[in-house]
Amino acid sequence: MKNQKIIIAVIVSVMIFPSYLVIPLTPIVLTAYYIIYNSSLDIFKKKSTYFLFFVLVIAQPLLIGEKSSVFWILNYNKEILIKGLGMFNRAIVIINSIKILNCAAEETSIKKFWTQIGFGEFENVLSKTHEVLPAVKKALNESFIQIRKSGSIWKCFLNPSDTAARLIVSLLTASQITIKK
Amino acid sequence: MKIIETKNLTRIDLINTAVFGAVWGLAEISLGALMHSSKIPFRGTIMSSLAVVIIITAKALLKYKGSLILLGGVTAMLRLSMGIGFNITPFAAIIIESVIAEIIFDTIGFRKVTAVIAGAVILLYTLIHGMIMQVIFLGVDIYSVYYEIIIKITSSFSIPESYIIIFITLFALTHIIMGGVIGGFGYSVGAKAEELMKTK
Repeated sequence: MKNQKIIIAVIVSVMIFPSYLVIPLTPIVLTAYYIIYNSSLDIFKKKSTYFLFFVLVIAQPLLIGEKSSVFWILNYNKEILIKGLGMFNRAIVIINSIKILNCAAEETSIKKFWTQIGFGEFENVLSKTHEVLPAVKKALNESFIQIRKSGSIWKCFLNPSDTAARLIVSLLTASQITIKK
Repeated sequence: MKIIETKNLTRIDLINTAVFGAVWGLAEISLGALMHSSKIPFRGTIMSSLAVVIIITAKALLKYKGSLILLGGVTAMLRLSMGIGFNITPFAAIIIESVIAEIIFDTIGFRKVTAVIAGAVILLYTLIHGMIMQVIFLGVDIYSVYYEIIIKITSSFSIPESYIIIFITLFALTHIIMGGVIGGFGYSVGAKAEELMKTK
């Protein structure tokens, strides 16, 4: 990825910078992300974003600290409002930056990272996981159907460790056969 | 820079790691996605409990050094590549939980007691994980926000501050006890699975 280091620098900067710097920086960063990476900004479609905004930017300055300013009939703390706005903007920038980094991260570079830190078999295990995934999924479904049909649900509840162990062993042996084939 | 080196892995080791990765990955993808969309409370605790059982059962069968970190890495990668949307919080949780378990089993060995300890530590970490992630996204100031809000609520309902401390301690203790029980359960599943594998 071309600007990976710049994005990491943006993340670190918003984590370090005080709120009064993060607030004007946010629209600049988001506009740049939109232009350069066609970042969808769908974070603003999420309800949780507005909940976070409500807690940090609306509720917090109204509830906490000495009331230093007045807006219409509402007394609020200006310092806490700036702090809350800074926190909200910091979260928006970091979430968007991580999303962009993730979209651009190539699978090969992630695999290379795992090999570099000493897990030489990472790629091999990952490909085997993809290989056994359908068999594991099928075996799990069949096991649940079998338990339901045999009417032994209570038996399973009474001895959960035995049921789980048998299920794991059947998955392991089935997968060993699948890979042999 | 090599942190750990997985050496002399047999074919069976590779397949077994892949199977546990597939089971954990499937649980994360299906159950994790379902819980994420339904906004069930304590979904992190539920997913971590499941992870504890899988990790400890896996350790009974995957004896090689670094097996749990490899398992965590594969699961996290699977979660990422299966296209359920990137969410850094569970991604980081998967890796950190497996690292915690690996460190405990590597330093004090794999026994029932260590399985209980690992389970307790992982569930306690789950409780803190959200707070750590909030610091990353919102900054350290979030703690003072929580503190101020708690003080405001307790003072308006005339609840003593000590009650909050007791509540938080009880909450953490519940996680520790729950983790210990689940860790013990994971150990018995692992021991039985190991026994069954020997007879096959």
